[in-house]
Amino acid sequence: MLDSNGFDVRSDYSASAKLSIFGRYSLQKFTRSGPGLFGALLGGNSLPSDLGGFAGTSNVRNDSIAGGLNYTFSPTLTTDFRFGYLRYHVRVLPGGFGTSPATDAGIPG
Amino acid sequence: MNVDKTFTSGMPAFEISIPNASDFRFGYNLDQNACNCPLAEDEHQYQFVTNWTKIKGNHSFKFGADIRYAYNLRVPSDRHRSGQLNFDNGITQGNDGSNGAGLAAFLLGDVTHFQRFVSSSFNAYETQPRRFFYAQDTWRVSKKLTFNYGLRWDLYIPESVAGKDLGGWVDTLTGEMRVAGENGVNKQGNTHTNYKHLSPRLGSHIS
Repeated sequence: MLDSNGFDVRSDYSASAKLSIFGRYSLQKFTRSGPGLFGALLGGNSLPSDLGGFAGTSNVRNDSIAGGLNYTFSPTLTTDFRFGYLRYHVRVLPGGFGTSPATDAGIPG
Repeated sequence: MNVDKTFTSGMPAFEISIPNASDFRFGYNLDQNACNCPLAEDEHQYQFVTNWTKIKGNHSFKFGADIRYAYNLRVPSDRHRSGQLNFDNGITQGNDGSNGAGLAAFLLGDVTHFQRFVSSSFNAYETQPRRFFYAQDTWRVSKKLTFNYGLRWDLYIPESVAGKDLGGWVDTLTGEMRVAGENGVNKQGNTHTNYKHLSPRLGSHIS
């Protein structure tokens, strides 16, 4: 299973002839998930699919924020400010995460 | 081998060699199903930029700053943390050199080699501030002649690890690992900021 979702929002505001501001937020989420040849717990080779040889669960989330303002003090003095933030967040887990098959089978070590 | 319910949970990776054929494999690891798992990865970047323009007479002055801060954390499992067990053919080969079988080694429980990733911390992140500044002037001396000149200053602050014992650097002269917070090694590995990254600009234009 391969799933991607995302959206962008942006707002612009002209507060006065001298001041304009904007803000933007973007979110993207990607999920890849699939069992191995022998199921989720036993894993093994990836099933033929669009997962690029992957088995397990992969979650990726990108958050991005941007904001800025332009200000005109006078016809001869202007300024702008910009702020940006990006967050890249990845979690990948094997099938059967949280289980203890090796310990249950009595394999020491 | 599942010593906890999180990082070392799940099925270890088994790789059983078969003579003249590809390995029989199950479990999870990078080799068999591209699962570098568990994997926790976080990156953050903050950026703040400002530009100012001032016009005075036939001068157009500009100056500004670009301030950045980066954070990186990566906790990988290049070898499965519950273990990777390989059963090779050679371990059961006869004294005459005839081929053995990985499956025989598996049934004997005779692991040929074992690998696993182990780490004592899961918060060994790195951070780096970077700061850039500039100032420039466009000077219209006459209708035909314009000068541009300016200066840019780049400050790359050394990358810093999260804290004591949460990172290290190999000393290429001795081969020793210099660990942050130990023996006088600081969080930047005792690297210093170079304050001399100055880039002057000069240009002229005749029309």
